[in-house]
Amino acid sequence: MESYWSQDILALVTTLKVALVSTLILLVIGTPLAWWLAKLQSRWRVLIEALIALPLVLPPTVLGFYLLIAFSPQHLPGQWWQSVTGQQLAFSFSAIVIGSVIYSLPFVVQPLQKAFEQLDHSLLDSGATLGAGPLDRFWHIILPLCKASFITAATLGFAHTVGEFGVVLMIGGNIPGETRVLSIALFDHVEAFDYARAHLLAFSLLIGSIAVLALVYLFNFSEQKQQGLSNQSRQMP
Amino acid sequence: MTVLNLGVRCQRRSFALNIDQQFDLTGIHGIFGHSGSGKSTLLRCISGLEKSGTGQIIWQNRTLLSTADKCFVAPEKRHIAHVFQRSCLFPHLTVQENLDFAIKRRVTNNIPIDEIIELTGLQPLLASKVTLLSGGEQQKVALARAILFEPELLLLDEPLSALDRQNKRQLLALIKRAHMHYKIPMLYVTHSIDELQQIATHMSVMENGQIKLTGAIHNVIHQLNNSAMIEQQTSLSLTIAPQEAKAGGLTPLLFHNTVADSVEQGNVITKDNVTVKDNVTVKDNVIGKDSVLDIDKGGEQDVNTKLYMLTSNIGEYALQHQALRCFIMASDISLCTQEPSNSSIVNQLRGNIIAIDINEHQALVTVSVNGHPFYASISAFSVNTLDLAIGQIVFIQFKASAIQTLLK
Repeated sequence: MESYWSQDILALVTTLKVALVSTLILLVIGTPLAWWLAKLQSRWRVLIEALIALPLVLPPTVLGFYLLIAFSPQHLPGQWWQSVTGQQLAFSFSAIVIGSVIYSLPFVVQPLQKAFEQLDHSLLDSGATLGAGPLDRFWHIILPLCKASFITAATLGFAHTVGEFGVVLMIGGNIPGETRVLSIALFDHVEAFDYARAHLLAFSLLIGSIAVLALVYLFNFSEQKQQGLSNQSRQMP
Repeated sequence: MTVLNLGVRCQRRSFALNIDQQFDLTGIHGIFGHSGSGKSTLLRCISGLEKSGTGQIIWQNRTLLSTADKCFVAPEKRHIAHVFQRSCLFPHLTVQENLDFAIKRRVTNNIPIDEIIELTGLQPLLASKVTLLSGGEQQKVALARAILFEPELLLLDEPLSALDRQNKRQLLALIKRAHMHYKIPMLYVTHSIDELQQIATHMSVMENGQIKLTGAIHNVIHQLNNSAMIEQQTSLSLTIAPQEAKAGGLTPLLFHNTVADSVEQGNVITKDNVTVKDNVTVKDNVIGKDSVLDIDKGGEQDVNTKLYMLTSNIGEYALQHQALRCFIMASDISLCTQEPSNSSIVNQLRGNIIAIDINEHQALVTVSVNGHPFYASISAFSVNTLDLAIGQIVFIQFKASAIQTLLK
């Protein structure tokens, strides 16, 4: 009984680890990607946007299947990984992180890209003529102005990774402490007809998701309210 | 001399910027032109925000752009501040934090922060969010922020066009003060000739991406009188007459003869061909440049050299400096072939006609008073009726209220 509990706790820890690492990677990759797309004026933009949005419509198992093949030691990405790290990529923690990053990419890139497109670029011009270089402008103008979108992007990326099932099932297997995440644990409980445990896990995931989303919406709402107020007073004579 | 050397090309959809010009930025240099003439693009090339510009830009012996040498200095390394029509304040920061943004990044440290805050009157607003400020206040913060950056050159791109008259006046005075106090070279772009007339010492006129005309402010304005670009006017630098008592709400002013030389180029001021009407009392029988100027040089306070202006129209700034820029609309000046008497019109100056430009039913008559040109717009009908001719002695007259100024 006790080990049952600790198994679920372990799955929770693994899930949080995967989600946290994925979110960090997503922000690091997604920010420049979103910036580049927001400024891109080539007709290739539509194609790249469609590629990034693909995980939104593609069945996760399809993505997982192709990733599994790519990660296997018989194929180039898997081979390359093995020669660099000395470990097999498929069925590893790294594999589900990579899978999660690809799968959650649109959830991070899309809100950021939208924010960057709406950003008043004359503010960046203004900053540049006041001596602020590109990084300086990012930290002190872009980041604070797009704070809400960054929080939305990070939360969506995190939550989506936590809820991820199909891809992880295909490429992660079910190794406790390595690739056994909450959604897989839940599936196991259901398969074993252990509905009590399944209920507990499902319910905690549900509550957790609602709490996270509520926090994000609350934050965005208060930001909007603040901006709305200032807009109103600006219009006053 | 503070020199900006430009040889810039930049292709745009509606025009091609093509400028080869040396700007003397000892005073404020104005760039005048209608929207779409390329003024803003030119400024963006100078500050480096426009990256598609080619050619070369040399500011005070420092090369900022040289396409031939593949040299492009990034805008953040140029130390050229740029104030835009919209204030472009950082909305996530307070007024104080906006100013701090510039202060943290400045390279020199000569302009005292408190002094600028006092000059701009921003003290009570320092803690406010910039989004809560009025348009005038926002622009004031933008100007203060740019000055506190201590730029080597300040580019002002239509900084006042979104403001009402009251705010315009305040900010113009502020810009002029900042220029006088801190000697920041300024390039001021606008489509409003009034603003330039008040603060610029030199100006250039832009059209279709090219500079059509450049020179001393009054000269260029007077040359524009014959284009359709501005309202016809006389542009003057005036000094408040020192020992004179102000009476009845009027202030006597003396005008400088700063533009005399260039105006008289190509225009013959006749000495011989002068018809002196019988009932006109003139000191000398020979009227011409020399004799009129003699009166001035002799220090004799001839009635003709003085102008009267409504004291209420003279601002605090002008009183402080005892000098002001004024303009008189050509439609406010009338001509008389005889010395007018018993008139309520206080300004009556004797001069001679140096040019008459007739455009359909309207005529622009240039009258030289002590070598200074005055422009009167009268009907072609009057030109005929009065039988006006070049070289003729006339009296121009205008009300005290016709002398206008923007700076208060």
